[in-house]
Amino acid sequence: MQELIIEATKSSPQIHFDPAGHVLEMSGESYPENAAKFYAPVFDWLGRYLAGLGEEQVTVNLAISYFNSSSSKALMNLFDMFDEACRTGRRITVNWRYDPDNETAQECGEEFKEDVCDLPFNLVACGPGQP
Amino acid sequence: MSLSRLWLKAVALILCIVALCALAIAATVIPLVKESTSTREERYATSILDQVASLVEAKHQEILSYQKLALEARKRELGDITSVFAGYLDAEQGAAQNTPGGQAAARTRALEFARLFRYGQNDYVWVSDFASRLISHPDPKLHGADFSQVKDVYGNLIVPPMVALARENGEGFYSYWWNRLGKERPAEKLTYSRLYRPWSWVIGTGVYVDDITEEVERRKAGLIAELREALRRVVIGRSGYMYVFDEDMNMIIHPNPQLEGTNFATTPNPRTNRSLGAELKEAARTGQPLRYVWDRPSEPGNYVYEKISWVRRHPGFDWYIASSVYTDDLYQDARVLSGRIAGIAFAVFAVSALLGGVFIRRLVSPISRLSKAALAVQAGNLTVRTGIVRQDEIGILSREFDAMVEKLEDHVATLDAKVQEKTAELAQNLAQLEEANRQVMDGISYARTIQRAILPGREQTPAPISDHFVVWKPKDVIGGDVFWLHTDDDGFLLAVADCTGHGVPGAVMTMLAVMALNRVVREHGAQDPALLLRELNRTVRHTLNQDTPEARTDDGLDIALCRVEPGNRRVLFAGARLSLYLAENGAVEEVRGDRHSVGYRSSDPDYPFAAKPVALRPGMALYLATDGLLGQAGGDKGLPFGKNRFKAFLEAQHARPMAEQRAALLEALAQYQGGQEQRDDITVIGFRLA
Repeated sequence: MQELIIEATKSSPQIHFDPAGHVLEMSGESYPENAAKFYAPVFDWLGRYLAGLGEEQVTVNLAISYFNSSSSKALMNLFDMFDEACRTGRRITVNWRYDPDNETAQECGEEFKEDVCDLPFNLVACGPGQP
Repeated sequence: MSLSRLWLKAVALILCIVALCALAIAATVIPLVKESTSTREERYATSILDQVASLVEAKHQEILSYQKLALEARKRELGDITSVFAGYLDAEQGAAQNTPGGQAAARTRALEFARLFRYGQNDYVWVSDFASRLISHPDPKLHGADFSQVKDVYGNLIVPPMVALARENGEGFYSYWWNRLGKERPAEKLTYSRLYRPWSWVIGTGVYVDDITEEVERRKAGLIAELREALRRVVIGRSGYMYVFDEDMNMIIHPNPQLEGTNFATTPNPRTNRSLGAELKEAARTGQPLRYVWDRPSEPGNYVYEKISWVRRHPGFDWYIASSVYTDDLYQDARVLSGRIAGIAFAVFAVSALLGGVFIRRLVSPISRLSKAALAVQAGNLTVRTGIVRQDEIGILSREFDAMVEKLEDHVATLDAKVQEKTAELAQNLAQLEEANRQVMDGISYARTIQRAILPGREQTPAPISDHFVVWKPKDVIGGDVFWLHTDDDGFLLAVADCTGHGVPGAVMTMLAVMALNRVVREHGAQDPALLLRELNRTVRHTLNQDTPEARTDDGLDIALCRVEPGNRRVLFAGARLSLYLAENGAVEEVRGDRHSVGYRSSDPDYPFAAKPVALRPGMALYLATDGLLGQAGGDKGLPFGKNRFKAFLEAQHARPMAEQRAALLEALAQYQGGQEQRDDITVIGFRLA
């Protein structure tokens, strides 16, 4: 399947999902007017990707410095998706990257981590702009 | 017409080429001419010299041969005369043979005859016996004299050698030197002697050969005079000449009459200070020309002119023949030629400048016009045309240029028209859009009044609250944040809610939220905030049909709900994702809500929200806020405002009057936000009880 590349905008993050290298990346800020509409193709792609995924190690790098509540919900759904996939044998690891000065992102990351069961979820404090 | 750069360049190029050509010609021709003229002069000088030398040699040979012939003739003469005399003696002797005593008489007669005999220029014969006694001599002083010891002026015996010669060889020639009357120098006398055997006599006759010598000298002088004449006519170069001097450095022939005849042995070469004569002789020996400084015939005595002399020695006369030339003259031709070339070059230069200038101007002026037209077009004037009509490439260029500009003009005009059309269209569209937007905005601002209407007004502030502030800032005029109040006898309920979205959808949700809150209070009372949240959850889900499988939406709210019971000095707090903040004595405590939103499709209708009791103390300040403030991006990195920053603010400000806190909060927010847009609806409420 093809890569999923969505350019960042002022209110939506950059999305770069690489199926060949098994690296899924999202970075930027997420507060689109219509989060459901924005994330629909993302979920769509992920659904197909996870369906065709074997036992390859998948790395998910998220570096989202701000997200509104609807984006938060979308992310939560995302993690549920990964969590479910892990339960069925896939190997996925999530790296939640945040600026150490951004305690909001840190807290959210901690909450997301608490909500998942089988999905390895790492909190990674790092400088801005680092992948 | 102003000077165009192109014209200048082209003319300069032509002039450079001409100048180069002239220089090249000059550089090659002038040295050649110099060399050829100087070689020519040199050759002329040496050839003249050779000619004169051979002429002199010829003359010399002539004189020598004359001398030889004359001498031979003399000798023959002497021999002949002696033969005649001998013949006479034979006759006498023959006749006396038969006569007794006749021999003696014959001898006497012969001697007498000899004494009187004369020939030529008073020349005579003499007779000597074997003892060198002159038995016949015309001079009475010498007649009969004994000459056996007589010597000539050089100390040599005269008669004895002649006698010896005759006796030995029969005859012979002998010369001796004698002083002649009227001559200063001794003269050579050539004498012939012959043996006359019958009488044992030696007969002879002699003649002075100084005639011959004189004749030779005369001829030599004649040669010199001739040569002088000839050499006077010789001009080498412009004023070079020939001269002749001898071994002792006497000037024999020289065009300068003052030098002729003088001896210049002591004259030095001004250049080397050695004897000039010696150097000239040296030049004759080596065959190399001598360079030195001399005067000119026109300026005698002024020794400043450079000369070259070629010298040849004539051994016959011991003469040195020289031809000389002034170096100035040698290069005269070359100088004249250079001048001429320079003149011509200059003339050619001027003419080519003129012609070139004119012709190139003709070539270049259309190019100037073309470039001016191009500049005008560039500056925006599309009406220019060059109007040049020519049959060459420039003509083509101009024609195409004009055509291009014409086309451009057309295009621009068309474009202008189209643009105007479009602009008008756009303006119209814009007007329409603006109108539509205005209507929408009008609608929204009206919606705002409605939304504001559902918010509790100041006059509804519950009595127990002694001081409070409210910050309610929707992101876009209207929004999804709302606060709600319900007062009863024992206290009041205060809620701050953040509904899904902002703007219009958010505002619609707030309507629903407020209605739902009112309903659940009506149905379940105002005592238990946790219960109220649970019922709110169910109500919202149900109202939005999100509790069915066919749910089309997934919307809800986060909420912080306080039941304030001043009498019990406590607050019961129940929250869905929002917190209650308590500040007293410089410390802030956050009472967190449940991690569960209200009303969403995914919200659990049975979720057990919890009500946390909080003891109220005097002076304690309480704060409720939606996540709008906490999530506002700003600062250096564009990160959210954050709970820590908010808590720090509260710690610092909580003791101040609420109105001041409000101002300070807005100030802090504005500063942090900077130029960033407001991300979400912001609601913050602070209050203190009496």
